[in-house]
Amino acid sequence: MTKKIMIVDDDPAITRYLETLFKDNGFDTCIADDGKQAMDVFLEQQPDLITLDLEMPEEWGPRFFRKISKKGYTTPVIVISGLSGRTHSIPKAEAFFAKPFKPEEVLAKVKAVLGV
Amino acid sequence: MTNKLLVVDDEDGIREVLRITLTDAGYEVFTAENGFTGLDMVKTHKPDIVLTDIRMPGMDGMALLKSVKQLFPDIEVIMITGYGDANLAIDSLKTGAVDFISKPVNQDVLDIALKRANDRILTREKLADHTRNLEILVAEKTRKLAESEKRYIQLFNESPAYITILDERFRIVESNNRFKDQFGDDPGMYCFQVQQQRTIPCDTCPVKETFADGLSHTAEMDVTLKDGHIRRFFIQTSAIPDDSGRISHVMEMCTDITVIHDLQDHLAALGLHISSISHGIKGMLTGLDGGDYLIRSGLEQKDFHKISNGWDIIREKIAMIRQMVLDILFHSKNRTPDMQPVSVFDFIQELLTTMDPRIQKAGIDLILDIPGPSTDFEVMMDKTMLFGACLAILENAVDACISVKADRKNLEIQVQVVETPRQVVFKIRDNGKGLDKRYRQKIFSLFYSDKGNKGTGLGLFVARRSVQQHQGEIHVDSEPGKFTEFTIAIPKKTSDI
Repeated sequence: MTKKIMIVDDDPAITRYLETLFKDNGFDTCIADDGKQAMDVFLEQQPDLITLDLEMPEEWGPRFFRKISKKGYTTPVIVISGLSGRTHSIPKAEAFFAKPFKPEEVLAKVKAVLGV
Repeated sequence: MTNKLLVVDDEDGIREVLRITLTDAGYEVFTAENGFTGLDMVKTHKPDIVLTDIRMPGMDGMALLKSVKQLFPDIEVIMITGYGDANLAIDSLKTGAVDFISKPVNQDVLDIALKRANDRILTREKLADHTRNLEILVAEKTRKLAESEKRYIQLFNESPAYITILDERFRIVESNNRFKDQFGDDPGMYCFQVQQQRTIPCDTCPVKETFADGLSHTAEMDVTLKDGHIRRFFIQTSAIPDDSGRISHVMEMCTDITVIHDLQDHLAALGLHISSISHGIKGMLTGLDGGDYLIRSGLEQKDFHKISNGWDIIREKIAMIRQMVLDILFHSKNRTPDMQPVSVFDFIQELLTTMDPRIQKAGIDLILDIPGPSTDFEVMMDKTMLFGACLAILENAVDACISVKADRKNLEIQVQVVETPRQVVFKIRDNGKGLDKRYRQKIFSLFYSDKGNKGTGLGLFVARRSVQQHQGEIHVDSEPGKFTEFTIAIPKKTSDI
């Protein structure tokens, strides 16, 4: 069954980039523009993995992660952010990538986490 | 020691004996045989002591005593009395004689009388000296006090700071020349009225705190000089207690730190350039990578739509990088405004022409309330500076509308220009997403952006700077989910920027 990745980032250029990258490599995707919208998309789409930006206008990434953790979800998260302190933001994250990232590295990590 | 002495007696023998005795005692002795001659000699020789017989023909001793004391009160007179002159002797003491001796003259008694006369002369001289010294001392102290008062007034007035003395109602009871020059000297002025154009005291007032606890407090505030210039002041206060120890007044000393403040802005900007801009650039570079990936993927898959999407991203990111670089260059340069008369109509037209493609593409209605060619007027401005400021606000308005495009119809941006006798006011209002209070407070801060990866946080910071350099004001009003309105007011005529 095709794995689904949820992309959370407020920059449409980056969501389109990741969407194309993942789709080109055989994944399904869904998109949320900020942490607030992310909860609705997450509950509706039930993704297998999340790529999460940290700094967003309405609600920051770490808060969204706390909310889904409280609800008992253990969906793996990969942080992709330009913030220098990204490695301290979500201790339980599978990986941290700095913007601008190398697509092959992100892809390799996604595949490893999802076991495909 | 006195040295001149006059002996007045009508008896030759006594005169001669006294002359010899007293000359021997070291006096320069003059003699006279009656009162009239004696008085003449007093006038001529001005003796220190006069020894006179009471009973003499013509002018007697009492008459001579009275005349001498009237003319020369400092000359001491010793009366020589014969038998039965006790009452006269007492009268003579009352009239001012220093002593009296009886005939025949006893040497010891004479010595005592002379000593008494000499002591009195000496005491008087000492007193005179003391009084003279005291007068000199008082004159010297008075001169020093006057000098010191003059010096303190000079220091108070010529101080490079602005100094005021305030009462409990924040009324200025005293101020130095520098303060008067810049804020005026009307009696009964309140500091908040003069420096802040307020009708009530400021919320964070160091003077109020000093009245409350007697300690020195500091604050930084923007103040408006009487010529309208806005300056940044560092304020220090200290309590002035009255005789009972109660704080009756507070001294406020203000230092103009506008230059330092501007420098701080620049230094802060420099520091933040390194850390914060890099964050924005990372986002833009990732976007460029994305555009590149989409184009390559589209080329491989022969998907024209993907290629077009990729190219759109690259164009958008290139435009953002260009704007960011221009903003940084603009900000990093300490540019003096180049003031020229500019037609308001032309200015708005140019602004709208630049923004029109974006406004049209986003489907936003543009509502204009601006002067037409017939009602046009000119304003002194640095067109490049103010154009950039208005453009940044207009771009924000478009972004705010686009962000709610999915949920709202009838998106509109209103541009209004109002002319007042002294100012021209530009208003740009959108009915986009609006700003909540925390954003409104930070919106003009350096590198603050509520647009996430889309904003650099420089546009409105630079806009405010440009407006301030025109001695103007910029304000924002907004209601989340409803509207945002920016107001820029600049003086029609600006001078000595």
